[in-house]
Amino acid sequence: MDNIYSLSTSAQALMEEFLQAALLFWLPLICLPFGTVLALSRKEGRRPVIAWSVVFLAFMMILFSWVTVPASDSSAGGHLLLSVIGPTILMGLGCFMIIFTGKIPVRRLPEPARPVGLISLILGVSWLVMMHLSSPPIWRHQVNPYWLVWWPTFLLSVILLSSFVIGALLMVGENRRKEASLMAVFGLLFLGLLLAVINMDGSLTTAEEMRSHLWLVSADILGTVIGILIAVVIVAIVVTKYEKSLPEPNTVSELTAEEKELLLMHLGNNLEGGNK
Amino acid sequence: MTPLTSNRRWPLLVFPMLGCLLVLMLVLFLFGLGDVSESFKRFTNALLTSFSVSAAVLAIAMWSYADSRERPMAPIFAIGLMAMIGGILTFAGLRFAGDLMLEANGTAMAQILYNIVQLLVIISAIAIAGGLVLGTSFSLITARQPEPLFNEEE
Repeated sequence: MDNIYSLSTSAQALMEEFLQAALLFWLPLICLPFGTVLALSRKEGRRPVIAWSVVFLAFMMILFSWVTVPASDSSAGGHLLLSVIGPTILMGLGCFMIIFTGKIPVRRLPEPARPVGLISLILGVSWLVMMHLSSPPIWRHQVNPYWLVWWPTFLLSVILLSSFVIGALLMVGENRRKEASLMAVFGLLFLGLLLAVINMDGSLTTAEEMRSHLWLVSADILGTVIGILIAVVIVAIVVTKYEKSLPEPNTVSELTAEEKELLLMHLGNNLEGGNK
Repeated sequence: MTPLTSNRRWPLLVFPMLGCLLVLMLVLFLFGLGDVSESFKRFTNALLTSFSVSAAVLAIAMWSYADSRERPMAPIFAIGLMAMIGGILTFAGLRFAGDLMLEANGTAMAQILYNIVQLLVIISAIAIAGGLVLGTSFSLITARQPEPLFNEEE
C-alpha cells in the first residue's frame, strides 16, 4: 500500500513539474513566433500593440525560466539567453551610436557618442571573451551546457557572415574596397579569437572540450541552415503553385466619355498646369 | 557601376563557403579532428528539428499571406502538413532508428525538446552575430562621406 502511495505521489509531482515547464517555458516559446507573425501581419488597430506585448512577456518568461521552473532541463536555454543579453545590448548600442554619428542623411547623434559607441562595442565583445576565460554561465553548479554550443556558434557565425559581407560589399558596392578590407580585418580578429578559444583553457572549460564542440557546432549550423532552406523552398513551391492555380483577373471595360471627363477634371484640379 | 547581375562579380558569392572551409581546414591542420563521434547525430537532429520548426513558423506566417488572398486554406494546410511530416519523421527517427539519440537524453521526447532549445540557442547566436557584423559594416560605410550621385557639370 505504501509503495502504491509513494508511486502515486511521485507521479503527481512529475505531472506538476511537466505542467509547470509547459506553462512557464514551452507556452511562452510558442508565443514568440506566433506573436511576432500576428504583430507584423497588421499595422492598424490594437493587434500589433497586444501582440508585441505578448512577445515581450513571453521573452521575459523564457529568460527567467531558470528561476520559475528550475526543475526543467530546458530552462538552461533561458539561463544562457539571460547570460548573453548584457553583452548583446552593449554591442547593439555601440553599433547604433557609431552608425548614427556617421555621415548619414538623417539627423545625427552628437559627435561624442561615436567614441562611446566604439567603447560600448569593444566592452560587449570583451565581456563575452571574459565569460569564456573566467566566468562562464553557471547552471546547476556546472557550466551551462548550451554555453558550449552558443559561444563557438557565435564565433563561427561572425567569421562566416563577415566573409559574406565582404563578398556583398565587393559585389554590390561601388568603390567599397576600403570597407571590405576593414571587414576582412574584423573577420580575422574573430578568427584569431576562435583559434585562441580552442587553444587556451578557460577557468572552467578546456581547449580540448572547445575543439570538440567547434566540430559539433559546425554540424549543427550546417544541419540548421539546410533544414531552414528546405522549409523555405517548400513554402516557395507551395505559394507558386497556388498563385498559378488562381484564375486570371477580370478585364475592366473601357472608360466612358463621362468617366474620362471626370478623370481629366480631377487631374486638372490636382496637377500643376493641368488645366492648360 | 557594375550591376548586381554582372557575371563578373558572381564568383564573390563563394566567399562565405571558402571562408568556412578555410577556417575548418585551419583548425583541422592545427589541432586535429578531436572527438567528433556525435557529429552525424547532431547534424541529423539539427536538420530535422530546424525543418519542422521553420515549417511550423512559416505555416503561422501564411496567415498574413492569407489576409491578402481571401483566406485560402490549401497553402496553410500544405505547409502545416510539411511541419507535421517533419515532426513525425523526427519522432520516428529517434524512436525506431535508435542511433540518433544523444547520450544525455533518455527518451525520444526528451531529445526533441532538447533539440528545440538547442535550435533556439543556435538561432540566437547566429542572429546576434549577424547583428554585430551588419552593425560593424554599416558603421564602416557611414564613416565615409557619401560620394555624389552625379558629378557637377563644369
